[in-house]
Amino acid sequence: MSLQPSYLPNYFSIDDILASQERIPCTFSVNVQKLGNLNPSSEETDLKAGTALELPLWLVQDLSTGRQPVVIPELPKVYKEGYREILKADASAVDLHKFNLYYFELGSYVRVFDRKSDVADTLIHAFTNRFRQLMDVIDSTEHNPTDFQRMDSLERRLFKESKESRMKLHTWLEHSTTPIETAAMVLNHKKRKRGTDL
Amino acid sequence: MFGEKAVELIKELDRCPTSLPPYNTDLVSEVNNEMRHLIESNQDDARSEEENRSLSGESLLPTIKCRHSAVIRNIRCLLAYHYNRLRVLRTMRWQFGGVLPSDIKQNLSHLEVEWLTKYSNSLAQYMRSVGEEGINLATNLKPPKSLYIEVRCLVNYGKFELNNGIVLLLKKNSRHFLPRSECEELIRQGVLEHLVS
Amino acid sequence: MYVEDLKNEFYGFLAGKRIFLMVHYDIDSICCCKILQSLLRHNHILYSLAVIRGIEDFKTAFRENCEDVKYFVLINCGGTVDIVELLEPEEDVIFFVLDSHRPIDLCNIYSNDQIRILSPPEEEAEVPKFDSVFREESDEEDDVESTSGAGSDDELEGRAAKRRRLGEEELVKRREKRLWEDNRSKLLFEYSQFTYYAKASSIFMFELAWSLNKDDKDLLWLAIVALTEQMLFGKLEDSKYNFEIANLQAHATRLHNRSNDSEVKASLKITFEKDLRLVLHRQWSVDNSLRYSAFTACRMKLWSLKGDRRMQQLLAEMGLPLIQSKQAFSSMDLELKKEFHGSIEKLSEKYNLEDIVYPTFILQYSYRNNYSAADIVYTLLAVLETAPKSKNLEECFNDAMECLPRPKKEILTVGVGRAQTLFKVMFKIVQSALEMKQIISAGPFVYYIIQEGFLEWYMFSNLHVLALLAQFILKAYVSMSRNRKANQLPLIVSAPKNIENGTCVILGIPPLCENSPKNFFGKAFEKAAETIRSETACDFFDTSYFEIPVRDRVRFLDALTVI
Repeated sequence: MSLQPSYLPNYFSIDDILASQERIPCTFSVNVQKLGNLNPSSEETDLKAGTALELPLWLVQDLSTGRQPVVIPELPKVYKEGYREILKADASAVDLHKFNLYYFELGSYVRVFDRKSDVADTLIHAFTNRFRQLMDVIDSTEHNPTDFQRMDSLERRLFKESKESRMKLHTWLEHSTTPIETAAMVLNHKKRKRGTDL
Repeated sequence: MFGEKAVELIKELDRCPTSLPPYNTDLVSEVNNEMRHLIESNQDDARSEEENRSLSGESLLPTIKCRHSAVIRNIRCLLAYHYNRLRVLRTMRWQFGGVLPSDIKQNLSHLEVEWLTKYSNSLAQYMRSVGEEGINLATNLKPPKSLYIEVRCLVNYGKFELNNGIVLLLKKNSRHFLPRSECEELIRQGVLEHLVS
Repeated sequence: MYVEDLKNEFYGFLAGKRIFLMVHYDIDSICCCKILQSLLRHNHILYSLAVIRGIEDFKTAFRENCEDVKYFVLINCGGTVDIVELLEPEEDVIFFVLDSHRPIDLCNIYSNDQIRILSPPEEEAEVPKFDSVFREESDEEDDVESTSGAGSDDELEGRAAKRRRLGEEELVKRREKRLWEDNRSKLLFEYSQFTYYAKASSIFMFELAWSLNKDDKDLLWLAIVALTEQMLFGKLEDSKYNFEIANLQAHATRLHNRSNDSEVKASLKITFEKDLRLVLHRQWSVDNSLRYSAFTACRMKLWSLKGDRRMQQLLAEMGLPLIQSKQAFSSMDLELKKEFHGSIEKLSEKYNLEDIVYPTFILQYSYRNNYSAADIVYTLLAVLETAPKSKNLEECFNDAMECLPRPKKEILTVGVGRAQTLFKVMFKIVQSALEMKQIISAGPFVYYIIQEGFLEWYMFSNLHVLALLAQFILKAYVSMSRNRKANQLPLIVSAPKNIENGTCVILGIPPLCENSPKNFFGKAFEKAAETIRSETACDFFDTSYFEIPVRDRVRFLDALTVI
């Protein structure tokens, strides 16, 4: 029984829901009646074909597929040529968090909007490149908050989990007995309580 | 924009992954209203689309598709909201033990309270049914190396009775050498600290 | 009563029972407690443990737990007070007392069953015979009867009649009784005249572990630390120190031979070595350590300009460049570091530093950390007694517990830093006390008062820190005094204790010439307090400490001069 939320984008995954909320630029290929209010910059009741809008990924995914796609999606700019060049040059130096909080997660969805599969290659290249550095950061005893700030959400999760398991391994090797600890939630709850008491 | 409110619920969970914010009744019912509205509009439009199919006017299908997509999205968010809350609740049942602190209980909806009771009951029932005398799954979550351990008391807890009838006073900062099985729960509740030498 | 066979009557007896440990707040007690804990763990004996700082704590801890526990083990507390009278325990409660404070209360010694003393009586301590101190109950009742009712007329008549009836026999009996009483008070006075310390409790406990074949190097180190503590705080004579250290050295050799290769990496290595009386010099710089050690400071009078020059001269003659002497010892050039001990020993005679070398033990733990026993003691002292006010004593106790027997880096680093501050402050206090002539002679003794608000004064309300300062001051005073009899004068120091209640702590230490830690101030303090009718609430097990209101201090000292 795993009490951890699973990583794979399952139906209930919070991260996946939030990632699919990111907006994707797209153009309407047909008229859509009555939904003019989707376009905040116009007062009309209908959406005309050719209107360019940024819609959430989940909506774009539904509307761009099928026999008669309603919208034609575009790559968000952080996955376009220019940004890909930056990542190719030195992925580990990039503040990925500034690109997008769910860079890899979102990337794995939007890569299908790119017919040449360049995005997919870039993502793999960037991840492997940065993973090396991530491991280094985890190994180092000093905690440098800027390193953490530059990670996207996937990397952050990896960082936290491996830091934790490393600690566990360390205590086990050192003492060979693992002390029983106060449950994390209890500890959290106490801290919060103390905070409100003050 | 569709689905904004539903995502608000998810964001709420994302902000505090290890605790339970108060059950957001208002927002949940707002999302429900939004869905009802979308479904009703879709039914109306579908009906007129059916009637007008022979006419060559513009199709309402894209509109219906958009709305439908939004309904599906809202459902996903609502389910995820409830499901993830239950996950946290289940973890809490293991970490806090049978009784949750009252300020956490306040944050639950009545359905969640009901669920928790049922979960606790099934858990207890299961633990009783294993082996001849039953087994307490909440103990020995980590492999024990010795039957007895040294602990330090972190709060003024008061008197505590061991299984064999021995009573001891758990006073802040006092130290004790006790059977591991009997203090494990108190350690996990933050009353005692396990001292490893 | 004394327990003779610790193995069976103490350790064996406790098997399967639940016990309560009361541990006094000092280094020996912590070491002893650690050894005992390891023994109890072997036998799965359940225990609870509480820290005892003084008589009040002692009473509270007993009151809170007496309902649930029947067996109490007292470490370095309770021996000097009449336990039965103080705590009024139920008859089936049993106390095991291992207390290095002396003298042990006679009621404890002659208790039939309830109080069991674990340490055998010292040879030189003359414990009065039972018969010469206690008499049959009936006699006393008689006594009470005959003295109580005096005053009322009827009684008087009755007594007169009684007297007539008294035979010759009775008169003899009365006379005998008076003689016996005189003798009794004399014996009692002789017995309780001096406050002093017996062999460290940890060493007893270690010997018990040895006899049970459960000793190891960790436990030995605890015994060593306890012994070193007694030596550094002047609780035992040099001869006894040398005797005990030889004893422990034998154990060290035995345990070293016993250990096999497999445990080398993770275990401790204890080596018997000669070391310098320079405080924390492995963790400090040579310059600082030389300057702030009481030993070198007093011998070379380092508080004066002349002394300072002598120190520079010494460094020069040793061939130690100033830059090297001022940087951390661990970072000094390897050659200089190796030669350091030898070269200072060679020059010791010339610079009046004889016996700068003393035998002790060094602990090697995890490849690079070397600690001498004295370093550990000073660090623990700093952990226990110089913590900032915000940290409560239980936390300090926990830190100290965690640091033994295997030093914990984080706690140790903080402790070393605080110990260094302590030595610096003490040096400055001594320096200013001498310059301002604040060490005042009161005839039969000299005294020094630490004013409130003086540098880090709050540290000195703690017992051992104060004792350390007192020794430093007395040695410095004697080395500077023109009075030839200076070394025959005892010293009294006083420091603020509790600002809110306006009390101060007073400590007396015996004169240097006696070269003995026996301390006669306990009785004197009691008497002086009685004469001036000061309200005292003494919470200390060591009676050479006393607590009085600050406003009574002057009168108190006056009263002392008369005694």
